[in-house]
Amino acid sequence: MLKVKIKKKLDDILINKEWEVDAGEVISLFGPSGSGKSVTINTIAGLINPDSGHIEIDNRVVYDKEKNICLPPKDRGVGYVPQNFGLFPHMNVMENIMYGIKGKDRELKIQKTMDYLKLVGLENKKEKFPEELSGGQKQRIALLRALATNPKVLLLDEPFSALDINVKEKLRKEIKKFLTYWTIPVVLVTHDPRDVEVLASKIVYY
Amino acid sequence: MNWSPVYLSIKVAFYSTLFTTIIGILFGWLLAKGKFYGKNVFSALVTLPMVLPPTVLGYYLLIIIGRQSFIGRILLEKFNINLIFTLKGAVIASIIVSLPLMIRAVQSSIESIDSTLEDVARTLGKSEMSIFLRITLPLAWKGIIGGIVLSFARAMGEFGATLMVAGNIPGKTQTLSIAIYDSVQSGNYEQANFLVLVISGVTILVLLLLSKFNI
Repeated sequence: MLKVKIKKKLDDILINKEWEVDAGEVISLFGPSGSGKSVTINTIAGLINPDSGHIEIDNRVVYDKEKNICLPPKDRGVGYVPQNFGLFPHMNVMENIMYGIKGKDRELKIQKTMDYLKLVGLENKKEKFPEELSGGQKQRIALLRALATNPKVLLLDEPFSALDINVKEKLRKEIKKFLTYWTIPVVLVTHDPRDVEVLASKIVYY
Repeated sequence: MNWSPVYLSIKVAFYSTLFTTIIGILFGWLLAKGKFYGKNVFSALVTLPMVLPPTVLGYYLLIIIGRQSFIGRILLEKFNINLIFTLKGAVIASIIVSLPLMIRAVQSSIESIDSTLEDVARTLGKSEMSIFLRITLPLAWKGIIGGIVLSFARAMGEFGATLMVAGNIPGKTQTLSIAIYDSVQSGNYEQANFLVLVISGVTILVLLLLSKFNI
């Protein structure tokens, strides 16, 4: 479960939200650009601090202003896929996914990565660099990389905004199916009603 | 032809560039990513050698590491190290003069990296050190190579600060630029022409290297 209660004053808006989402559910933070949706998931990831509030991931407090708790991003157990996918341009597909997998056994890491790639049918792209992939392929790799760390929550920031309109619909359905393999809370930031319709089980308006 | 100034300059430039690279990457990263009190002052201080006349820098160095200075006396009495009129002094002078070039090249290169990539690495459970080594450094390589090449070239051609700190001792501290000056002063134009050709060749090579890496 993910519990979020935050207050954050930005230049022209005040984010004051409280919501929670169970494992296996997809909650959509829905609203126009600049309404504070991305800031909210960045506070969950620990990349930005709210002014006050309380954030709990999988029954563990990762942020609490009053109790002076603020875990760094690396200790929060979140999977994060940013708007432009954030694939490391100097690493190939294999290295991108392996980078996040814990452990020292390289063979095991390679095996895990191959298993993940097979899940999305991209095992033949393992040696390609991000610039050689299509938008849809990049998105799937970014998603795999985030999930390969076994996160307790998945944060998706406008996952379809950088894609062509004809690819979007196919990927929405594919990701919906794909997410059923992971029973964790998913937070989907979007301004597209169609994303909400296909993927979300809960909505928070921004 | 006397090759000794060429060897000495290469030696000074090599050691100087080695230290400049390590310090420059650290300071460049600090200036690009660090959030600390007095950052502007620190930035101005490390850039100062770029705008101050090299002889002034040399004079400062004499005051700081000279035999009469606090540091100079400790080095001499406790460790038996003398920096003045030695090749070590020439290396230090070259480091000070070329460091701003390295720092600026690394800083602007790191600043141009999409910070989302480092954020993603943080959420993947990586430490700041891992992010620096695996993400930031490889993505800033162009700036680092550019900084190294420029620093080496600057150290090869260093004159003013080196003359103040290391003097002009043939075969010991007489580097290329100083030897050219010395040759002209003594009317030895054959030696001057040879040394000028060498340093011009190195400079052209540096420019070619920079353009090869699209820097």
